[in-house]
Amino acid sequence: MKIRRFTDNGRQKFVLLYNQIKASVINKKSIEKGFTKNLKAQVKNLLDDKSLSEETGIKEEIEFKNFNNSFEFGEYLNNKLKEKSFSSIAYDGNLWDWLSLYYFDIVFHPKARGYSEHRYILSEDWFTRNRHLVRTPWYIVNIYGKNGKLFLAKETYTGTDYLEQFISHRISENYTKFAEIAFNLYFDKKNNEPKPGFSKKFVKRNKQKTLIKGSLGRLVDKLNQYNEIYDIWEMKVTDIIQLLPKEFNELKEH
Amino acid sequence: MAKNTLEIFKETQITYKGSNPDLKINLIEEDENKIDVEVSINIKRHQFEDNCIVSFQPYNNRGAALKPMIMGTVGELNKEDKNVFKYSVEINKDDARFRLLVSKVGKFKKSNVNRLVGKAEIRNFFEDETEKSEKKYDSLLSTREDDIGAIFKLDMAPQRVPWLILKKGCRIKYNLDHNVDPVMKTLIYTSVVRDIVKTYLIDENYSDCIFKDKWFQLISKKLSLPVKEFPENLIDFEPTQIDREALLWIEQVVETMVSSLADRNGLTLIQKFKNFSQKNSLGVDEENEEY
Repeated sequence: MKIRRFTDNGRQKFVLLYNQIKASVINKKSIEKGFTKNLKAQVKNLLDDKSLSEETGIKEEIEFKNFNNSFEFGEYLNNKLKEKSFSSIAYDGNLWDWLSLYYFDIVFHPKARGYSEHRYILSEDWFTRNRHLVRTPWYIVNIYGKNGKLFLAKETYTGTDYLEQFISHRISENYTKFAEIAFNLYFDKKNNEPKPGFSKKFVKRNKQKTLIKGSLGRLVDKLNQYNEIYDIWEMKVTDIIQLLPKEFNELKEH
Repeated sequence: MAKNTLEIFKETQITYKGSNPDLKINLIEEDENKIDVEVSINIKRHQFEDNCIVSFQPYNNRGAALKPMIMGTVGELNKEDKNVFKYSVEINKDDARFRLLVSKVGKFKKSNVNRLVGKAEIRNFFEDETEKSEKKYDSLLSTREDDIGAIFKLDMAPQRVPWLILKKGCRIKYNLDHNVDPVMKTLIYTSVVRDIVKTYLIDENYSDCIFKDKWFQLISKKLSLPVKEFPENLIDFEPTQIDREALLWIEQVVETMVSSLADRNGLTLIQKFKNFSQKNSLGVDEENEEY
């Protein structure tokens, strides 16, 4: 199918429909029960109604299929959207929300643990924009390439804590090699999965806020510090990793 | 026991405005998502070592930075009186920011490092002149216009000043900047300050945010209350619940920071609000009033 984007009216209808779906899920206390046959039919009708969306001019076609994880989904979308420049589509809510609708069955899944509208409707707010389950995989793959695996290792209907923690720091945008450093430290290449226990900077232990040594948040602290004294863009990732203090030793691969 | 000695020094500021700046950036062409710039540079006067590397990095204020472009070594650039580079940058004009870095290659322990010796951060290059001339101090709340659905919204992120985004085409920014409507200003700022303080208190993503520190220092000064006595300990984080005392404290902050905000004549914003409402109900021509 050709990639389309909502008209303003179409997007408004999608927002209203999602609000209905969300209300039903809250009412029935589960996606499985709340996402009723009737609502499923409305999703299909909205997608089929060509007057509510328009062509994008993108030559590549997309198909509906399942992906093993969000990273594969992001790679697929990045490949399909490569004809368009980043800035021409990055903030196009009408495009991303139409893609949300097209892939609704893989991003709105009975096993999903959240149903915030920001997952399906692109937010204007910097903080919640990156919770979009279709745009964010594309964004991460587009900007960070294979290193994005660290943040997109789970199913297409799940946002990860590594992603949330990474993207909430400005340095992730200003210094994109940050993802490569994080991937080197926190991705278990042998088992092909993120190393658990390092995504949060603080956890609560015995009712005390406890700092996690070597965590992603601590890496942010160190990179912010290095950024003040070094041109970290010009430095090799291996040199920066070597600079990190002892608390990171167990994460460094020798 | 051996100790490492750290040499702390401040990098040289590369100038980009005023008379005869080191760095000049001219906008050659623009379209919706792209700009062409011409960058001229002459940093001879700073006497950096010849092998220092000079790089130029455009970045998007709303998105990721682009890979820095190497202009050359200081030695190469110093051979000419003027070096001109042309770059085509895929960033919208209003969101474009630039950074110029001069670094010196060296060693720290076993790592090769590029120590910063010179720097220019150009954050408001394309801001219009009237906005620039009014910015005489570092604001803790930036305002800008955008095509948003609501009349205003707060946009916060760690490590940057909170933004109050105002709907384009409604003259709200003009009205706020020029104190045209104290009622509007009071209502908007009351809501925004309350949200900022709440977010800084409860959201752990801001635990190391320098602007949270700046806000808290200001609040501390206004309330004459040390930051360590702020009610963070009255908030239960799992799930987040704000104690009644903390809520009262937030209201006190809002009152001090907004309602009791006095102008140079000692007139508070809430007093202006009252005056405005009274005069408005009496049919006074507001266009002839000064606020």
